[in-house]
Amino acid sequence: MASFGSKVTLLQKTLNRQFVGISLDKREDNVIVTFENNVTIYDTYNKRVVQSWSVSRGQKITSPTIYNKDDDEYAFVVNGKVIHTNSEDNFDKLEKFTVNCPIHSILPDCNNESLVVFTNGQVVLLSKVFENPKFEPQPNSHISEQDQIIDCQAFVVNNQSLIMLLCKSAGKHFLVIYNTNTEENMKLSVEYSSCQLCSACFHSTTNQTIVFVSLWDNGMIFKSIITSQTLQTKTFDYTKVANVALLQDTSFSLLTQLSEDLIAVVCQENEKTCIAIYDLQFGLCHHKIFNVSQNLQIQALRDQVVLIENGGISSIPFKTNPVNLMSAYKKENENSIKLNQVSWSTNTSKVLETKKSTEKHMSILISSLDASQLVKSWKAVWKSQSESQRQVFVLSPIVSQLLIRITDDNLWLSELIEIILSTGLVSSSICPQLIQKVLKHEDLSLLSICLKQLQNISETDLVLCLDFFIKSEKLQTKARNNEEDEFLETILSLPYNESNMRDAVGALSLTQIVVFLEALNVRLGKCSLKSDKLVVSWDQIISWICLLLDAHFTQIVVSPESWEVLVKLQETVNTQVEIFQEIYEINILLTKLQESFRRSRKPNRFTYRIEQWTI
Amino acid sequence: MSSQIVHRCRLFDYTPSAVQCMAVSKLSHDLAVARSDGSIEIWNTCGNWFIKMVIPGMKDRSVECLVWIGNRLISGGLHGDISEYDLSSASAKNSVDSYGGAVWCMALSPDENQIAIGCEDGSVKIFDVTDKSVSYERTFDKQEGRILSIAWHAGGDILVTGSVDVIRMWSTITGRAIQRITIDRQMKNVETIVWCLLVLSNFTIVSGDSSGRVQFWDGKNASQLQSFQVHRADVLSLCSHPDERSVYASGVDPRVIQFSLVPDEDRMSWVKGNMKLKHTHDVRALAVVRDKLVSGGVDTNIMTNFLDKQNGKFQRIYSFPSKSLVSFAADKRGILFQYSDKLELWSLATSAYCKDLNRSFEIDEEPVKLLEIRKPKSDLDQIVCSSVSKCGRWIAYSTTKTIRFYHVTISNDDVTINLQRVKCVGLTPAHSLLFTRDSNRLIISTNTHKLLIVQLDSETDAARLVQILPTKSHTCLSHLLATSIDSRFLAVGNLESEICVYDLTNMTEFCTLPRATCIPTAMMFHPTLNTLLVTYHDMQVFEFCLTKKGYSNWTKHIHMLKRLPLLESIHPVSRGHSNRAIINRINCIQTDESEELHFVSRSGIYVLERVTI
Repeated sequence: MASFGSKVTLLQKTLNRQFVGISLDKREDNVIVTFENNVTIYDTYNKRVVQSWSVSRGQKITSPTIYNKDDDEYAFVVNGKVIHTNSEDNFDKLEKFTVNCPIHSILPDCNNESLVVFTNGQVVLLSKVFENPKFEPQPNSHISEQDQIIDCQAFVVNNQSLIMLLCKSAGKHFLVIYNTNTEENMKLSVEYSSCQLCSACFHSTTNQTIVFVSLWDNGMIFKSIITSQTLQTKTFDYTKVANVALLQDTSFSLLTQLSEDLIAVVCQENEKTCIAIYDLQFGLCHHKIFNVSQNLQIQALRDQVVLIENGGISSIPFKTNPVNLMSAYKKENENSIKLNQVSWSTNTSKVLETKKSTEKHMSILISSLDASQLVKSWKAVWKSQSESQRQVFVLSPIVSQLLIRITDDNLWLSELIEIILSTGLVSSSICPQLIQKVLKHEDLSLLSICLKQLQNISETDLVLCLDFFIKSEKLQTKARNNEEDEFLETILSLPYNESNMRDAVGALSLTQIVVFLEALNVRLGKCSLKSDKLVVSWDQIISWICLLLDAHFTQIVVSPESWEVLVKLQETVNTQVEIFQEIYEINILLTKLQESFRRSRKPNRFTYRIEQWTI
Repeated sequence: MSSQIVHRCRLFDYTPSAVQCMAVSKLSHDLAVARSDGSIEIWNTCGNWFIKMVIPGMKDRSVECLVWIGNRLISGGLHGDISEYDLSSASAKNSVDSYGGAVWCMALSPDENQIAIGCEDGSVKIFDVTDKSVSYERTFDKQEGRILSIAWHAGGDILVTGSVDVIRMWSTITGRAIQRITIDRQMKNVETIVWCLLVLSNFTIVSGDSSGRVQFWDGKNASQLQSFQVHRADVLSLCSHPDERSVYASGVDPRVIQFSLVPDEDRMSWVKGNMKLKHTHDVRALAVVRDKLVSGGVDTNIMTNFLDKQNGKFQRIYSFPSKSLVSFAADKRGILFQYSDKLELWSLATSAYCKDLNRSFEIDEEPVKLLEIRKPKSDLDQIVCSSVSKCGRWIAYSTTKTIRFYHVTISNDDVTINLQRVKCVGLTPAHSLLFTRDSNRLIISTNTHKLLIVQLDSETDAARLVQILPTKSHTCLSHLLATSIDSRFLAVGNLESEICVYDLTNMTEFCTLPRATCIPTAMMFHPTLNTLLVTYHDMQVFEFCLTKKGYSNWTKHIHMLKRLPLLESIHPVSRGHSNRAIINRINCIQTDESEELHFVSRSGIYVLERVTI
């Protein structure tokens, strides 16, 4: 899920300047905006220009300016072949390094190194170019003179630095993956039917895989996962994510990745340009941003989407959370956009084509009312299936019907429910009434299993569970047992959609909210202590507190009965603030130490060298 | 074009110290910079900035505040003493007790006859500083809480102090508090500490506190004029433009923020202006030197910005000592590093073959630390100077209290090392040390303005003081020493720009160079010509002919052609990130037809080629 702030204009629109690129500065709040003739460092926190410099008339900056950590200076390319560097303390004095081959761009901070990408595909360390600018870069064997590099990005996967070069040749696209450690090259064709690639972006997930997201001229968005296996097979699969209505006359920067799960794409909605946010997991639209101009490019930088509109730069801050199906689906309903969803359970019939022996057990599962027979048959069916078959089986109507039957008040087979849930593969959408039924039977142990094992529990069900907890909490305020504590923490640790949960929590009464806030207050206080018992994380507790206060703000303000808990809560928060101030100071110190550590890791930071100098 | 083998090593683990406080001399415009290790540097701020002198610190002594009284320098620290320094010998002259515990702050009266100090016990003490001494005069009424900042109004009868949550105004006549300003707390339980104060001549009081605020107060009626939340944490230092229309603030972040006085309808008001973000860490001290704002802090560097140029060029002056802390034993391929508490002797690496021309050589034998000499723990002073002889057999070092030297025996395989301390009667602590090229003599320039010549005997491991020569000046230190290749001549340069050449064969003064307006920074006797090359801090180069006892024809010719200082007009050859720095060393490389003079500075190497035919 992603929430977005309001749009902030960083630089006003100017028609006569050509945008080159935007990159991150050494300070967290700053961005470096590069135009054809000018570089501006902008402080997004204070909303002001920190520094700006221009190149002489007749010179053109051809690659985005980067901050080179190694030398603590800025580097950019002028007229394709001259690298200019300047540092803050030496701003007026540029240093120039003229190279023999045109440069496509400079990539900052890849495995703590900056890299120079030449138009012939060669990738060289920036420090090496500084040492010997006149060396002749050998062309990449997969990139010919006619080929054009459209985009390049660097990633570190399994401690290997990979450079992704997206190239175009005679209207066709291909991807060259260059491993800087082994100096190996790999070419992968980027083709889908007869469509043309409109935009693409890369993203690294937990340093294991690289996700390549592509947007095609028919509006289709695909994701392809590049793993070590892909590198061996030299092919990748396209998984459909969504289909959008594209704009006419667009640039290449229409697509950007916000997080592991979310992408932003520039598209059309009712003939208006908008930025749509899709999740890669379910292909659903979460958000749409309108009021953007037609000629738009987007780029995600840290926690901001940067919008480039007719020479002007603006940014929209965003925050992302993990996506679950229920929240994504509800969010999609809110946006009321009909999308082609990914079909991921179409071959359920195949599951039924199992061996004859299992057919018998299946028929028992479908029709029998005998508890022991059902358990026996379930175990037999489950045992006979492979891992992938099991995943499909639990989504089949057989299991759905079975769960509906065994949760019926007349039958109520808690043992079998527990067995089915313990597979960990059951989604709440298979049996939407399951939690309500468990609550009705007040079976706390089964409820706990439901919360732990059931996937995609809806916000309404979570609030029902909370309601149940509050009742028991209220009754046994003094003598709560560990099981109840664990139960509450399990509820708090589950993912949810913020807007859906706000609506659901609204159903709780003020008295319930006060009891719940007290419980949260206790847990917030515990969070500062080193407690391994706590399942729920600090930020989850904070989110819940904010959510409750937000949903019941008016009631809390006007009702004196909530004051006592608010005072307690503030005391706890004040204690936390003090602790976090200390931690913040430690963080500053650690950041500085890390910076110096990074600097000292520079490869040319030799201890001893003997050189021949010719002066 | 000359080709040289260069050993680039990072064996010397030199760690500069953070800037603690600064003070500017009104007379000489010299800048005194106190470091966190207790040492005080005296910077020349005329032309190229460089450290003229370092007053070494002592273990467990801090310098929290500095004050110049004419040419006298006084400091206060947490050890509870007020110290005056002898700038002619770079050492502490005398110390008096503060009688109030740790000294947190100090201010000089406008008539420069008194200093006021803020103490740990909450008292303000007045010391009389006339008659070249510091003597206790009186104590103001004791108040609650330590006094952390202090400022004297230009009128002389009002003193302003800052403590925890409060600013007080005192009558210097009665010694009683006459006004009290309570500072708001931002958080109920967190005290607001007034770390710095400034009193302008119109009685505007400027305060910087621990909540990151800079506040302007009307001192006449103790009311707040304006308040600015400018820093993320404590404001540690304030200073004002000489015309008092701008005030600068810095603190526990890298920012230096300017406040300007601007007309606002019918009155003047302060507005937050330019922000300078040149430091990388906290900025603890600010000062105004001539037309420049100087700042220093945890990142150890000193930054200068022009006061009246909005976006004028700034200069970062790296905190490396002007005086070399490294000396060489060329015959033994040894290199001696001087730390504040120890010496390290390393052997240079050797190379087998060149892997790639113009690139690095393959290292055959790694550098080895041969020796580490630590000063005794009982000796609290830092090492001031050190030297190793060319033969590698003699090592000497001096603190402000003692001089020690050693005889070193190193076997050819660098495995067996024998270190033996050599006793020599009559030696006094040195400011500079130098062994002659033949390693037979040690030259000691003492704090007492004398030159001691010590005769060394390697065979008997003995040393004997053979001659004491008086130096030219008795009011300043002789900081430069150089000997000729044949060890016959000794050149001595001092901070008053005097250079004298002695003949060591008959131990007499041979000649004196014409006195320049600038301070000499490096000297070298020419290896073949009978001349002495000298560079000054304005980057001028002079060659003095010892035979003619006058400037050489080359110098006359050069200075006839060029009006600019010679090295000012050329760029250094190596890539330099810093600004122009003084020359520390001169080397001469000779070929058949020409010779190259290499002038080494921190900003690069300046190369002058001259034809020898």
